[in-house]
Amino acid sequence: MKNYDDFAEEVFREADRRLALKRKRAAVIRQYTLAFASMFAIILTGIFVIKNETVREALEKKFNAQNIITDESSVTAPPTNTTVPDHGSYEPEITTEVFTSPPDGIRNTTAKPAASTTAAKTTTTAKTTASHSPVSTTDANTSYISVTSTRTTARNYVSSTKTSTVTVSKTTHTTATATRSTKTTATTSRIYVTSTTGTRTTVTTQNPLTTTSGGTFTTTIHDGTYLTSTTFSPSASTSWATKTTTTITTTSTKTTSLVTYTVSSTTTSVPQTTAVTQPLYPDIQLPAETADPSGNTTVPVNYRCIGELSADLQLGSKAGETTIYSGGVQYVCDVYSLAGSSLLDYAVIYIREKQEWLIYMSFIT
Amino acid sequence: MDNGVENYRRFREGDRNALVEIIRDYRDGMILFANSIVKDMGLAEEIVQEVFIKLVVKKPKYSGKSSFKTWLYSICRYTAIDFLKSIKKRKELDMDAVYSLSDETDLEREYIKEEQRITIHNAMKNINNDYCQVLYLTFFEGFDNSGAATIMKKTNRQIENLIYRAKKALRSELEKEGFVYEKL
Repeated sequence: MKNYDDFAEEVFREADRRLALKRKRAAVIRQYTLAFASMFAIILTGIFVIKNETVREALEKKFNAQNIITDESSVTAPPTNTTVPDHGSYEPEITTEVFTSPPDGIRNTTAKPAASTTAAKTTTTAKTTASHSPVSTTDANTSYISVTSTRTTARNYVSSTKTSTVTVSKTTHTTATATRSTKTTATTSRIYVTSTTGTRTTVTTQNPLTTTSGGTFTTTIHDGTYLTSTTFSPSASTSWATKTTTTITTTSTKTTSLVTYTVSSTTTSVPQTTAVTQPLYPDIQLPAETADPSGNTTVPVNYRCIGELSADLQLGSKAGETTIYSGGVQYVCDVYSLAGSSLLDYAVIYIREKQEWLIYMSFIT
Repeated sequence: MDNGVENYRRFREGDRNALVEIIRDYRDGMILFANSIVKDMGLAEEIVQEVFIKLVVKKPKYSGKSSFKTWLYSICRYTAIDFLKSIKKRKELDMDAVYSLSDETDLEREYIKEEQRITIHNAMKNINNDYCQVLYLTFFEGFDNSGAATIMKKTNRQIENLIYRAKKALRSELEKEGFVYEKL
């Protein structure tokens, strides 16, 4: 039997344990009660709000929900198997606007300089060179004239090098004259390359070689296989602007040589204010397709040249301009002999760009 | 015994020493009373301990309709009955009954003191439970019929009849053991 103190102590200890447990249990119950009460209050509030017509009307008015369907009997089922009507195909309207002039901001690249533009200051230097360009001329009836033209504007608006090679078939070919005109000069500058039989070639400028658009003008005449030396008169540095004749003396071992000559001239001038966009000379090659069927010097002699013009050039003949070929196509040009000169019977091929003749070549027959 | 009310008031106001005094005054009698119900000294002590734990935890209000001792023994009886119900559910008794025999003898000698009364108390173990309770309350604890009726939730008439039959059963039991008590 326990004594009173131990008994009382045990009573109090057990009582305290139960009280603590009771308090803990009460706290838990209080928390659960609070949670359930909150949830229950929310549910009750929701039910109350939904059921309350006054609140519902207020909500409808607030959100302008005028189309709330309260009578479900008036609601009809949506149509089933709805098909979309065929409205046919629609063709978009395409409008085309034709510009007659370049839009603003686009530079007209085809602008041409004035027809009679005069350079404020012109400094022209000519350099004439002649060099051998051996050609295996097994065909005695073939000679070559290769014309290389280079023109560079001071402002580098245009830098182009064009080479024209004309093959002339002539057994007794002694003289070739290349006549050139610059696009921008008012007067045509011509260089006559006269090849004397055998040993002498004379390059003659018919008019002072002037150019008003600036740049470099190079003409090259290749001599033939048999030329061994070439001298120039005047010297290569002589300005062609003041010379009318430049003589190139060559020495050939054969009097009947078929020669091609290279005449180079350099022309420099101050740049013009107007940009020149077109090349001075077209890229043209006129190989002879067939030689003169007759094979003699009888005048007239017809030549047929075949070549291809650049896209913006046309080819025609001076004699009445009866044959005009558009650029970019292969052309067959009959070269007619022109009467009127006892010394020089020549045919001229004209190449023109649009309405302006750029170059023509004369073939001395 | 009048100090019981005052001590319990003090205890409810927070003085735990007052409850210790109540334990000193009433514990042994309550244990013997509970033993008369459950016939197990260890369980009776546990029952009394549970009574005082209830006082500490719940601090029930004493109304004063009966004496404090009567109120306290009533609580003890209810608690003992609840213990018996729970024991019946478990269908097992505490094996501490072996040691409780010696404890019971010690407690009897300390609490009852008189040899004759101890003999009577021992003889009460073999009679009916209600007889045992009413005899203990009236013969050993000094309750009158009204107090015993209050504790045992019976009427005074029932208590009188119960006491009459209890004495008769106790006399028969004592005669079996060779004792003759004319006062019974």
